Amino acid sequence: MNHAFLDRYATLESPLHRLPASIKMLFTLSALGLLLLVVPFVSHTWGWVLIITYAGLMSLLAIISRVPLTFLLTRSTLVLPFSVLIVVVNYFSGNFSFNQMLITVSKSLLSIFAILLLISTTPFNSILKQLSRWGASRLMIIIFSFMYRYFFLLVGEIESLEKAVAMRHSSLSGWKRFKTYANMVGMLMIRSFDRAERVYQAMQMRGFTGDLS
Amino acid sequence: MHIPDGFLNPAVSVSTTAISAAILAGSLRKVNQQVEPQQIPLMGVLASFVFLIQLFSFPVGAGTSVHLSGALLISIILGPLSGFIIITIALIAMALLFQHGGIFSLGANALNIAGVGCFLGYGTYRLIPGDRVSIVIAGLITGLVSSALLALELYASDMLDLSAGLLSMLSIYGSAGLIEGLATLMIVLFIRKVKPEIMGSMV
Amino acid sequence: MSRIRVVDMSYNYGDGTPALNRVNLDFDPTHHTALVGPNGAGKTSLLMALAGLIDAEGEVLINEIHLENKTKEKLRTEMSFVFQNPDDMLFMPTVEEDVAFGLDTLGLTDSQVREHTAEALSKVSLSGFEQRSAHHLSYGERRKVCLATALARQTSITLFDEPTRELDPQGRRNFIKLFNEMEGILILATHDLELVLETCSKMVLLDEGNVICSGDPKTLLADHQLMVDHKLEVPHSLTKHPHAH
Repeated sequence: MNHAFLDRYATLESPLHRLPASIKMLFTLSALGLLLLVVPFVSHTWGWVLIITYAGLMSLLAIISRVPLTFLLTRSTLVLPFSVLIVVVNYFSGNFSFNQMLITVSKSLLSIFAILLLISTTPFNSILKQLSRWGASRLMIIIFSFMYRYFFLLVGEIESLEKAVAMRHSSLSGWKRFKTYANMVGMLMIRSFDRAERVYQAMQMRGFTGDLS
Repeated sequence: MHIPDGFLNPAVSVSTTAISAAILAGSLRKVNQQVEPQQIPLMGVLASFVFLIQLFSFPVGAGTSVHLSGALLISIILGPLSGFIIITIALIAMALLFQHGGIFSLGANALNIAGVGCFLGYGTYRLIPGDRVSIVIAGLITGLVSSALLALELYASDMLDLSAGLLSMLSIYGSAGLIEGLATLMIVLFIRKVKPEIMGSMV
Repeated sequence: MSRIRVVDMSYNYGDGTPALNRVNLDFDPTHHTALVGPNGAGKTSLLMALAGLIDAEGEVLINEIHLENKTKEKLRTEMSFVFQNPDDMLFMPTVEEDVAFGLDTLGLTDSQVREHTAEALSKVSLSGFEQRSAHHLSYGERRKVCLATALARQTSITLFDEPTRELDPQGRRNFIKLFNEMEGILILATHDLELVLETCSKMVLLDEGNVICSGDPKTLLADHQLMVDHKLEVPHSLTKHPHAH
């Protein structure tokens, strides 16, 4: 499993990285909102004008941010399986013109690109802090930060479980393989419970009584 | 299936977001009232777990694999309300950190995956007698309803021809739901055998 | 002067096997105490019971106050616990927040919290790491942050579970130095018998939940028969020219 990404460029140094999280978050939201709201309701020509302007702006920001363009572009293509499927189906059923097909794909690519740019210039924890300032539920923020914190450890655990399975059964197939993987996920879940229990003990020792304020 | 940004029209986007936000607010209120201190880190670590299994390719033979949503599983193990919160958080993280889904489609994704999986899935599991069968049926129904909703949302956004779309969606995700049900059953059986005390520990 | 008394403490693991069997012990700040014994001897259970994290039978008296559900929150303000696995202790987004976590419950003001945090991080030579996240740190660094969480609390009792496990030699050396500068009641559970010799003036040998003996580490650890009987071995520094003949 490829997990080395997440927000790995978020700690680079650039003018964009130094901007407060709130500004970047608001900018991303409004840029996305504008793109999604306006493009469907204008003519194709104006749609293209908007998309090209938007793409130009995003590339400019990407260059300023020093986040490798290849990373942003390859990660953006993750959206392609879904969008290509949808537009091709629509094209062949006569629902979409060729132009519409291209506009839709570009729009989805640009949306992903904008989110990637945000996450690559803003540490996830800064985003959480800002959400908290904007009044997000305390419980949610805590769950979020625990999720982020323990994700890498769980990845390590599932990888070692996978290796252990592979060492013992090199050629599992069919139902047996399915069952083995189910047990593996079950084991991972049990370990998560155990982990949570130990973390809670550590929290208790430092005075945590469940108060979320 | 996570809908990316750019496929839902504003009306669908806003209405699904409103519904999901309302369910989330309700769930948070109820869970906040009842949560015990040790369950706070638990929900966090389990969100990590869900995030991971959504990315993890679960092999189903013949060289194919599916991604579990974990919604049915987490609802059976913890409870549907805390399940909804955890799955929604994992979906937000998927959209932000892994580019699965989008921001303006988050409401729809939360409704399709977390809402259907946690509430309809859990309800089916509780209502149908014989819990082995009920978990598998819950998985199947969740898969079907999720994909029907997905098709409907895309149709309402003029992104899908309903008859053709619905049929293909239902067949693909119906079978994915069946697999999720089977996998959930195996996982639940494993946990019952190894650590039964963790079953049904929250609301 | 603070004091811990353990009276007739018993505890069973989940599967029913005894972890602690009528244990009676006294701890005070004049001796730093090592808990030693083979796997499953009850070392960790004893530490957990001292902290009120498991419900053992018998009594724990901390400064003559019974440790029980009503009092444990209050008594824990006098205690720090350095757990075996740093990842269980470091759950906050940044190092600074990890060290500061819970300091407010000790009645410290915001500026005192910042002071304690900065001081503790500088003691473990991690000044400048405040904004880093635990999961981006090396294992040794995470260990140090855990130690800093305990130092920042400035409590009179500190419990350590396997504090040098998986540390490289330099990390271990740093730990010994910091440990020896600490004051109060210090209790550490460990398999690292050389560590015991360098840090503790008292040793308690546990096996299968029983206190086998307690006393001066040098004397006890040099007792070959005692060590062999309890799946331990005389530490190298106490063996006199083992290959001389």
